[in-house]
Amino acid sequence: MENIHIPGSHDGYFVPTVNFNFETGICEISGESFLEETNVFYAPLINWIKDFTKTGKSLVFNCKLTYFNTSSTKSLLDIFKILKKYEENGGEITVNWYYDEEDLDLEEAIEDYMIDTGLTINMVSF
Amino acid sequence: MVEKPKFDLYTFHQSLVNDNLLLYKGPFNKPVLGVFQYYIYETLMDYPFLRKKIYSVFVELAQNIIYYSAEKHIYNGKPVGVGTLSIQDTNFSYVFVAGNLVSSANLGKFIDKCTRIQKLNKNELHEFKREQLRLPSGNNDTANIGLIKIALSANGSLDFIKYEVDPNHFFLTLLVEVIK
Repeated sequence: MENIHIPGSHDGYFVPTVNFNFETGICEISGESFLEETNVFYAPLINWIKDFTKTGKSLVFNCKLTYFNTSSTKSLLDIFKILKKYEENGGEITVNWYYDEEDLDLEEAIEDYMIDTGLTINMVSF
Repeated sequence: MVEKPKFDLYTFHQSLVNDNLLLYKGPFNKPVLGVFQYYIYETLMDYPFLRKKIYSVFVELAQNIIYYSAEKHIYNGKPVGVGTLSIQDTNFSYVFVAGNLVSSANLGKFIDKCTRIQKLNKNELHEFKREQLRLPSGNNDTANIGLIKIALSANGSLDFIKYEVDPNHFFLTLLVEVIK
């Protein structure tokens, strides 16, 4: 599997920085997510994760997003559901979300994801 | 001699409140989003969490216009919604007023959603958001939760006014207040 590397950008829309590494099993998404075509952006990421879960390797998902619009909310939920399913099928996963502890809105959004998916997301404050 | 415009700018200027930060009418295409984004980020650079709230409300209101306005403009070969958005800075809050044309056929479900959202407390809004996320994505890549997210960012402050334009269209205005 090829690694994914997408540099983030701000240009009317916000493209997050993405680094998915097959060798290490570390997947990271950071910055802000507000895209012109959300499904087009996230589809390859979702497919990559689905393919990765077929390998049986352990996966660490580090989320460092500070802002994401509603369309991105849905795509992230799809990713977390895949991770939860992998975990239920015996896969080893760790999900970390790095955030500013004063950002209560983001804290609530992360908790919503946990309630919705049953996934444990380690909330790492800085 | 320049031809006088049909638009009376002076009367319009006088009608605006002094605390109007930004006011725009037109298609909400990428360059316009960029201008608002830059302005919000620069103006509120010292208040990162407030800046995020303001930007979040702006994005959801803009997306509402982009996808659901009945008035469209073609940008880069794609239809983009046309509407009006203003951001006002009062002493203790930022007030958003966003409006666009909607078809009479689509107005009902929009108002139903607004009305329901207005009655929910914070926990109920989160539950409603989770419920809507379980539904299939809306048209145009949306997630059905834009209005809910606005209400959460603005601590429930979301109101609307509708004006009948013709038998097939209304002009729908959304009002949102974010306390500083």
